[in-house]
Amino acid sequence: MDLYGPVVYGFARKRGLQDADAADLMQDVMRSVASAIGQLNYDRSRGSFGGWLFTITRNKIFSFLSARRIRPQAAGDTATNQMLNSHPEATDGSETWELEYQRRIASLAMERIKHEFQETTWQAFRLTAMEGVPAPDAARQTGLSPGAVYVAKSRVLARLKDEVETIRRQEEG
Amino acid sequence: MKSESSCPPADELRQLLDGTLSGERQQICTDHMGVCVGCQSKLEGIATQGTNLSSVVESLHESQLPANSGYWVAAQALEAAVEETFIPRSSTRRSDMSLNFLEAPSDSAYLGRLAQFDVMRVLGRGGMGLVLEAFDTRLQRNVALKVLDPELANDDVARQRFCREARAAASITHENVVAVHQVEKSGDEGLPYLVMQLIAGESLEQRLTRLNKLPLREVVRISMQIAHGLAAAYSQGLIHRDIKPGNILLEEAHDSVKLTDFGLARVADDVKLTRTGFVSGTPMYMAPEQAMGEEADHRSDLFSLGAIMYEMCAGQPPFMGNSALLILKQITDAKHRPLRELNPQIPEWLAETIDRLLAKNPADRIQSATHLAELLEFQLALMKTSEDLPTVCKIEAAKEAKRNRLIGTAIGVSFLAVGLMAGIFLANRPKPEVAVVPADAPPEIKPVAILSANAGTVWSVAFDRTSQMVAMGVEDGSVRLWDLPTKTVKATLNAHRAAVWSSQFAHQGELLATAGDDGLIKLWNPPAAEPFKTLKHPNAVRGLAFSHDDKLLYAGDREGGLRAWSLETDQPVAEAQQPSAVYSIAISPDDETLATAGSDKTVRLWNAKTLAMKLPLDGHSGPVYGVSFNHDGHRLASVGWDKQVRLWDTSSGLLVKSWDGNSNDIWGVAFSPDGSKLATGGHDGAVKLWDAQTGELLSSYLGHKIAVHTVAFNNDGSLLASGGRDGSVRVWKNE
Repeated sequence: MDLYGPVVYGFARKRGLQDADAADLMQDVMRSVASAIGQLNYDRSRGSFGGWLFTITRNKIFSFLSARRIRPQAAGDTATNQMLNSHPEATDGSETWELEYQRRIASLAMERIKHEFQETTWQAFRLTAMEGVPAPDAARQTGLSPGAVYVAKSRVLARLKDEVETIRRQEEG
Repeated sequence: MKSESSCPPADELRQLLDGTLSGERQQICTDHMGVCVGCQSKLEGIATQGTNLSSVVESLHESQLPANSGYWVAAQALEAAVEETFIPRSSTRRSDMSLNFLEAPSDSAYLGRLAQFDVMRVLGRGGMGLVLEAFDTRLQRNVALKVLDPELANDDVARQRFCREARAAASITHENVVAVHQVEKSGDEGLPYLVMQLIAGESLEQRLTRLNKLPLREVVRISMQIAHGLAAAYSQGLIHRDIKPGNILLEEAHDSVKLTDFGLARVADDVKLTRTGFVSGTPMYMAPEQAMGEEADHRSDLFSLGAIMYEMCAGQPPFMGNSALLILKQITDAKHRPLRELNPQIPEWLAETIDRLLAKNPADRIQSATHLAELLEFQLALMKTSEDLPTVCKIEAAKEAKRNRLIGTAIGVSFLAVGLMAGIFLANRPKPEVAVVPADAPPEIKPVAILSANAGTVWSVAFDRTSQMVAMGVEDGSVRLWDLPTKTVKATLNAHRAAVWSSQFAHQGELLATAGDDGLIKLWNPPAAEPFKTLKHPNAVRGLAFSHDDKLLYAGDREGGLRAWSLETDQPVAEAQQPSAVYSIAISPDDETLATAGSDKTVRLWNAKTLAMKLPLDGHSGPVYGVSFNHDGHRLASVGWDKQVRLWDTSSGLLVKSWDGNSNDIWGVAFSPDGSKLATGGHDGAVKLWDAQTGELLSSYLGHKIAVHTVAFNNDGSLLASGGRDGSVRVWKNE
């Protein structure tokens, strides 16, 4: 739920749902999943059900959008209309889903490893890798040399990569 | 300038990342990084090992959840649902649920007592409570009790659900579904429990654990019976939702398969309540639509049955995994391994059938349990035929079967049509079972009709005046009126709240009287669904008899009370009391004498007008269960616990003759209308026909395999009906 809630939500948004609808849909998907597998917080450390969840999410979004077709929304909802006109199999969105999933894992991994680094190192990473701040500016803000900023960024990335792999391994069994 | 230093080798870059580079080199390399774009990206490439991690991190802001997003509200609601739904379930207290809701046992051999049930042992523990084996002291038989966990009894949802289960299960009456006899509440807290048929045998789960896979014919036979049970449930609008080997019981005695635990079954349009509540289903046999949290329908049960059939054939279920999640993923996403790879002996038609049941899309499956049952029945009949033929014929039969199937497929007929073809096909074949009967064995007498209600034990049976209609009084309180020529149920009367002990047609008109354990006597104009008259007797009425002018109705009850009810005033016109329960009553043809069978081993004759006692007939060594007058009223036959048939002279009260009847308790007795024969029905399942003069055994009718509780002749004595614990009435020709 911690892992996949945001993935489902994010995916729904990318598929053209509004915030409130995406939140509802996330809740709906999670409840369905829960009633199927027995426990909402089911042994998260084992078993991959990303693909399965994706299927459910995709189906629910499709039904949601189909329902909209019956009750047309206010004009200007072009994203929705676009989605409706495309068959779910044609644009199955697995790339979007995968990207949402990767982002979610990356942010979980970041939360986990953050404490392992000195604050300036982390800051250098955050500024350059996440916020797109040029290295010289990041160097000024952190008081590090530009070279140290690059090293900091790469060190965090290397560690992050390991952690992402660990989470994936746990998730995918 | 240091910036002009040459680019460090990859090894050094790696060391730079994990901090194992010496201080001086580290400084040089770090400085180099500040100026060399090539090394910057090289270092990052080593760090991410060629993955897209950098770009993922870079784009994280695109997936950031704003603080004011509805997501957080939804997530909170989910957390709350988790607390509510799952915390009580995860506690372990129910695994050691105590038996302290039981009263002290009446005998040290028992664990305890619950109402009239002596509890013998715990059979199992399930999601909602316990299953106990118990002896019903009132009906003298063993039953299974399903008791709601006392800790859950206070929980309205659990209670509601349990009662709904009971209602659902009780509405299915079929030989392939475990019968629910009644729903009771006990104790101060009103702990609800179900009284169910006790099945001696093992579950399919146990059998599969023991044998791994099953022989082909067993697979088909068991699957066919499950399909029949499901079809019966669907006809009531019920789906099971949790078909798994543990819920399929294999009864030892009759090779019969019974579905149990319609615990999760619900009327199809009543799904909402538990939508987000209790977990439903076992993942291994769950249908894809269930796995995805969508609504299940009857085709979901068919998928589950397909998975079980697969396991019976292959020795392993079609979808496996180390965790529930992995199994669910398999179910929704993966194709099962071809069955014939795992077991090449499985015929193609069966593998194809199972494939069709395991289709991901419900619309691609075999659409009804009835069709599946028909298909399997056809194949089973084919197997029986071909197994008994010489080898050459067997090959021919196999070819023919294949041809039939191909024709069926080619012209696109439904399975129904295949079933019809089977009928024609088989009719042309020799009947091998005739050949295997030894020539000297007496041919088994077949009933002319089997009227099967499967609603529980049949306690009473009666022919109407014209012999066109048979009334059947059943355990579940219903009275079924059968049209004998067509063998169909004309009407089901919701007559009583508990077992119907007696049903009697009036001598003249088409009037029917029924009496039940609820103490009510009801009068009906069949097939009208409502009684036109209800008389309130003080307690459970065991026996009824109409006077021959149909003006009086006699009733004998469990407390030993005897009443003559006037059907004109609806008041009792005479009353009497005997010391112990009356089990059966009979009126003499001249309306002068009433006879009662009593639990105190005594048969009593009463003045039918005044209900003054005329004569006690002593001789039985145990309770007397049945009495019947002959055509002239000079003889009375009585039967009971001591397995004896006794024939009395009604004027002197002397025993005329007695003989050993059935091999166990005799529950029912009836004189043929001409007085020449006596029929008895016993606990041993046999119906026996005796010469009433000599006591010589004329015929045995052995169709019921378990206890027969009631026997009755029709008006002209050409037909004999018997009913009992197997839930059926069999009509026999009196030769």
